[in-house]
Amino acid sequence: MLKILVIDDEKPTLSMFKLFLTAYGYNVLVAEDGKTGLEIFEKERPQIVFTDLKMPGMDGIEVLRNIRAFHETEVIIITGHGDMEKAVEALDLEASDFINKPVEKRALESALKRAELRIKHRGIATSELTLSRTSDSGICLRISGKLAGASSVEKQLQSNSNNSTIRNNSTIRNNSTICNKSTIRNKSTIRNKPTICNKPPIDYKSSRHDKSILNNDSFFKDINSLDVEFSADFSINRDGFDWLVNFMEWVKDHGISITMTGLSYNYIRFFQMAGLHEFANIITSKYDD
Amino acid sequence: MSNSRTFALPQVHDVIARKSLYKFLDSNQDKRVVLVQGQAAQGKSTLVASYLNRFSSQSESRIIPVWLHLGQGESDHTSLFDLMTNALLQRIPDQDAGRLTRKVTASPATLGTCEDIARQVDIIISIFDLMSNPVALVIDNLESIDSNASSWALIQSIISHTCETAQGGKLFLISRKFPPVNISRLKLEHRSLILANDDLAFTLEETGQFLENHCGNTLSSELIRKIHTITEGWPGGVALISESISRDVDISSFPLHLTAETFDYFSREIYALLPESIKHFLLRASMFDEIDEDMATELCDPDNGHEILTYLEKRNLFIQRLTSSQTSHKASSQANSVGLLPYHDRNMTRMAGRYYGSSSRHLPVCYRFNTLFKQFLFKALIHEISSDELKLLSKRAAHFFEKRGEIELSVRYYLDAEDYKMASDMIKKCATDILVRGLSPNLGTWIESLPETVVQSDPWLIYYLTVTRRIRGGRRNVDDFLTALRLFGVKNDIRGCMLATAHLIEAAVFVRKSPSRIFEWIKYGEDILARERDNPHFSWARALLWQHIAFGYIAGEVDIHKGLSSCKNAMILAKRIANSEIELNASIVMAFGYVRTGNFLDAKVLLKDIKPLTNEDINPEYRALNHLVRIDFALKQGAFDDAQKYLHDSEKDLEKFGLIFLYPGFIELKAMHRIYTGRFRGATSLAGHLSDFSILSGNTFYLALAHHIKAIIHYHTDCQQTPAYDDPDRKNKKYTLFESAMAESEKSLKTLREQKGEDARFFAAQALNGLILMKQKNYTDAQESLEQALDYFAAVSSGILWCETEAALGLLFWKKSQPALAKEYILKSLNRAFQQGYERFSLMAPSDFAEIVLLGICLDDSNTLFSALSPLIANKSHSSNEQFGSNVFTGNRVDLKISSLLKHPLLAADMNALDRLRHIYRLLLPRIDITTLGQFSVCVNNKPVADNTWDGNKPKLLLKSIICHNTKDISKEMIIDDIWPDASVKAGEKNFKVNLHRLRKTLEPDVNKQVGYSYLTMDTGRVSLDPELVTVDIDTFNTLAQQGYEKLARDEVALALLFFEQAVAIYKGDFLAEEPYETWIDLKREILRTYYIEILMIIARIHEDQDQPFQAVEYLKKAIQADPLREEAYQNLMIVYADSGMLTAATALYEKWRQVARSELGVEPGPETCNIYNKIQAIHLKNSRVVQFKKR
Repeated sequence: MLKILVIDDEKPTLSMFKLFLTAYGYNVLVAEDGKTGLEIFEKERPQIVFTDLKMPGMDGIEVLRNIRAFHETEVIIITGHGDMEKAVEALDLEASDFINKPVEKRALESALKRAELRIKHRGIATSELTLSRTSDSGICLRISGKLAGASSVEKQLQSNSNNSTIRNNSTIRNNSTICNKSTIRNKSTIRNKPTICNKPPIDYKSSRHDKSILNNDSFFKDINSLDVEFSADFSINRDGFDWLVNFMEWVKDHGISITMTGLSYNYIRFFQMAGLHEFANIITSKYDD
Repeated sequence: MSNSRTFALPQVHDVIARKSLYKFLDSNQDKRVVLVQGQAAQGKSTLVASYLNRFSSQSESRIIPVWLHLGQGESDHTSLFDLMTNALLQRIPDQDAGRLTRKVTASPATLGTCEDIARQVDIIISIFDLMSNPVALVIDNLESIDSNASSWALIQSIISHTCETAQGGKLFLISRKFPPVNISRLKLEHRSLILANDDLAFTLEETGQFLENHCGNTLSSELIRKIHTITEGWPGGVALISESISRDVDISSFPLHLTAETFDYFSREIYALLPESIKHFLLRASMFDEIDEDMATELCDPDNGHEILTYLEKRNLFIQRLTSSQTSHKASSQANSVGLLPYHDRNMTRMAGRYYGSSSRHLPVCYRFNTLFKQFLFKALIHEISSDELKLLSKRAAHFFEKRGEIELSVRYYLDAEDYKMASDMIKKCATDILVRGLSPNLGTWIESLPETVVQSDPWLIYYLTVTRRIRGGRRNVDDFLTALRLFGVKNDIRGCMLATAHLIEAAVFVRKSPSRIFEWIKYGEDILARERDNPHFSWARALLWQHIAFGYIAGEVDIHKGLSSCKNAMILAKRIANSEIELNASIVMAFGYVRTGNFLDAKVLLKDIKPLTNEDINPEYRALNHLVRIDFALKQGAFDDAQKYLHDSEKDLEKFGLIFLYPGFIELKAMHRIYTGRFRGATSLAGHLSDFSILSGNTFYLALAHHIKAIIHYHTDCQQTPAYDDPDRKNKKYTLFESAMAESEKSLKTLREQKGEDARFFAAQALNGLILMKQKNYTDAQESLEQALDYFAAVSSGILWCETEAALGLLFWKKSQPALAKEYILKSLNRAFQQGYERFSLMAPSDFAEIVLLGICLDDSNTLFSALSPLIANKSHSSNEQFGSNVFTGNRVDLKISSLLKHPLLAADMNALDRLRHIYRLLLPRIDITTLGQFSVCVNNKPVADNTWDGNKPKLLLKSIICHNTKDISKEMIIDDIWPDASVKAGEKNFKVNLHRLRKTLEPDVNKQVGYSYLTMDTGRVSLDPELVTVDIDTFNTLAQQGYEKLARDEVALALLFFEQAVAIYKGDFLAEEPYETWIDLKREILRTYYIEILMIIARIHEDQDQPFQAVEYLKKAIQADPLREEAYQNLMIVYADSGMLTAATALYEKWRQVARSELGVEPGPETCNIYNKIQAIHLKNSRVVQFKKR
């Protein structure tokens, strides 16, 4: 029986979480503030922690920071509607997932399912990106594990491109580029660009890799659709999110339609909050059924 | 396994009496919890057994010893619970048997999802509480429980209960290790006793005595001392050495220190010396936790089994006899006499049968080895024989137990023998029985011990395994029950399909699957039931399936009406097969269905009906449902304190037992309580919480309820504000809270309209909608809404909602100027409401309810309502117990409503109605309390009238004059004469008139023009204070004094004293002492003071008669203080002093009086005083002589 700790300063919310999570078959511990929550955490070592972001005294970010300093526990952040910046801050601190208040059944179940999956595959699953051509005019980008920023993405795509077998007998060439970052940087026509924080966007020039597959526009020649498939254990941090936003913006600007699948209910909500739905058609995940 | 155990005190042989320890335990009788903690073979169990044996041998002893010997299996709380309840059942005296019949099993959760441990704690505590004799519960071998085991929570609860209960029960904990419970804290609080290793060690004398008992009088004192030194008094060591000595072992080679760690060495030594036949026996016996004579013969040594056991027991070779034929017989006869539930019958019969055998009437004696010795022997067995031989032995044991009908025991040995086929068969044979008995954790462990392939191919094993984690399995259960169901389907196993479907539905509801998904499985279950309608078999499975279908319909939010109907089916079937558990569970689900639909009346009746099947102590669902019903009724009757208490109790249970399905209903009632008590912010937050709950559970019904509650809050809040006609600001406002109320009401109606089986809720929302429409003056739509709701409530005989909808329509007709219809509807509604005891309506704002009541009083020509309600209103509106402004007649500006009605054209001609209204108005006015004794003050509703509101001193004097002349019918001339004695008649009249008006304005600043002034009335030139509205302290003083005199005349001295003392307490000073120059007050002041002093003298005399001189002195001093020239008081005080031996004080008092008399009156003390003084002096003199004589 998995142990779950819920930290929230609203007693009725705690009661409600306790009732539901107990019914789901978990051993539930509750704390009304961050400090008590950490004490319980140290004593009981729950596998999953839900913490509210806004709490008097020690807030959810501080709780997360303390747990993350030493432990791999799944920490799911409960955010109020519109706490975008805080949510991103939580992602930076390796929050496992987040759910919005009022918490929807689907969101809770999705967060739990994914947390359990990550616990199961802990130490096995690593970040992985694979590109494949699905048809003459379509490609698929599969993202699993943690998407942690431009350099790691490029490195992976590079390595991936060396080994990948593309369906329809096409291959990604070494010098293929799917995203010309200098083009993105030079473009000033993008409107309504999603922003998630005040942090300046990543300087793609400085992180550019000569041999990156992202340097070649020709890869996207004749491509009119991109499927981005997210695995069940997908997670993301601030840098990864910035990369994804810029990448999708660039793809969209090239007239390629984007479909996102496999995202958890919570990530869909988060991506919608960040405005990504304006670039892509987001399809509900099968994991949330 | 617990059913194979016995719980009497172990038989201890050849023990030495530990007198000093007995004495120590006796001197600590007040410590209810005793921990005996020490190393192995330290004599812990022997001490406790021999100590308790002393009590049981005393015929007058009432203590019932219950001995639990734990094994590792009891690490699970359910096993421990099972063991404890069986133990208590075996050991209960006959007189308690009947009362405990229903207490032995934790009812499986029906509406709760929490672990069962809380239920078990409640049951065990309730068994203890019910036993008429105190229990000495011994929990032995505690160290065998894992340190993080769930059983510790159960043990901790029993420790706490033992310490706190008023019963004289005792708890002994025996352990090698210090247990992880709060014993040390209890010790600090002097509530527990700990006997540690050193306490348990033999003294030199005890060592000598033990050796003498075992080896005779042959050992030298030097050798005894040596043995004592090397063993450090360790009883096990002393026993080993004595055994060695008796076998001529040279003990000079022994180590210098002998501790429990050397047990193995000595075990080997002793073991090596034993004959081969005994060794053979011991090795085989080590496979068993307990061994009886039959087992000894059949499984260990066919020729000498019985003799060997007796030999070992006599030699005290680490074997303990657990039972005598007497105790075992008791267990069996007890089981028969208590008339247990069927499955307990089976358990107990099997248990008794095991001992009796099918024909024999002889009970074999049962033994248990010392744990360390058994471990040593088992290690030796493994070392000595091959694993195949060991498996053969296990198989033989399994066969033996199977043959003897102890299927559960056989499972363990089949598993040890790795005979999985037989193990599976045996598991399936006993599993249903185990499940019905309360989910033995062994079942899950056994099935998990089987190879995965065996389990996954057998639907019954999957099913049983999943049922063992029925609550804690969570979402995984749904998949596993589905797998079992699929396999049952393939095998066409009807019973399996029924049971798997039943549990699948339940699991799906627990994890809150969507109603559509739950309905799929309900449908599947209903199809099976329809198909097998004529099948005479599987009645239990059929009843269980109906129960869970009902649960799915109701708790799964599928269709409440169908759920109620399924409940009925389950109950009928359960009754037919006499299965009280399913009957109870189905009834609880049904009661939940009623509560869920707001039908508290039927819920109440049903809960009362099923009371014989359960009770609130042991069934949290039953208790919680009862609480919800009580809260609802308390709210309807305006008993908000009671409702608050039940809410508090309910909340604790809901959280403790995870009663998730009752939670939203609880939140709804809590919100209503907040609304009724005017705490709208709290109510809004609860409505928000209900909305959160709805979103989290993916259920729109609770969202509709949240909107409904919010609509009520807005409607009530707006009604509570100053009415629009009285508030020019609000008159101009376009937006009112009624619009918010309407918006929420529409949302609630829209959602409820889509819900199946929620008619009652829908029409309640419809009625509310009508009320809000009426407030918005949309009378046409309001009438339509209300009439639709009324039709529904009339059809389903809904009490309170019918009443309030009928009343609302009456109010609507009044507003539409249709008085005849208004009268008909309002009177019909109110008459029924008051017959039913409703003191308020559930939806209607108190101000609207008050308006309806006022209209009822006006429109009822028969005066019946007026007569019935007047005293009620008078009491309620001034009740000191009023909580949260609960009364609809206070705080709702009823005065304004009365004013409005008084000028209403439809009532203008009805003088009787207007009189009734004026009367009610007066009843609702705040009470005035006037204090004149001591500091003059006037309080309106307990708040003093500020000095600056008096408009000069003359109005105050006018009031004082009225009071001075006894408050009733005072002619204005008398008053003028008091206050303006020198004024001309005309000037006097004018002064009177002006100041009377000022006085009235002070007392009643917001006078109602239609009613006029109420506190001060003027009738044909005579002024009166209304005695119903105004209380003057001198009236109270006089009344109390009068009552005192009356009681005294009847010789009821104690009561007289009570009244007099109350009167004295009111007299805080002279009458209107602040007016020394108003001579018209003097006479009254003097009369009252005299009266007061008389009372003081009487009180003093009563105390004097009752030999309470100090109290008498106190009152006499008060009398002297009030009148320093009252000689009689001095005389009495002198006498009291003298009688109490305080001659000096008496003499001093005489001297004081002489001075006062001389200086103030110019006279000497009177002859009576002098006489008393002389007597005092005579006593004084006599006493001095006695003292001098004694000195000499």
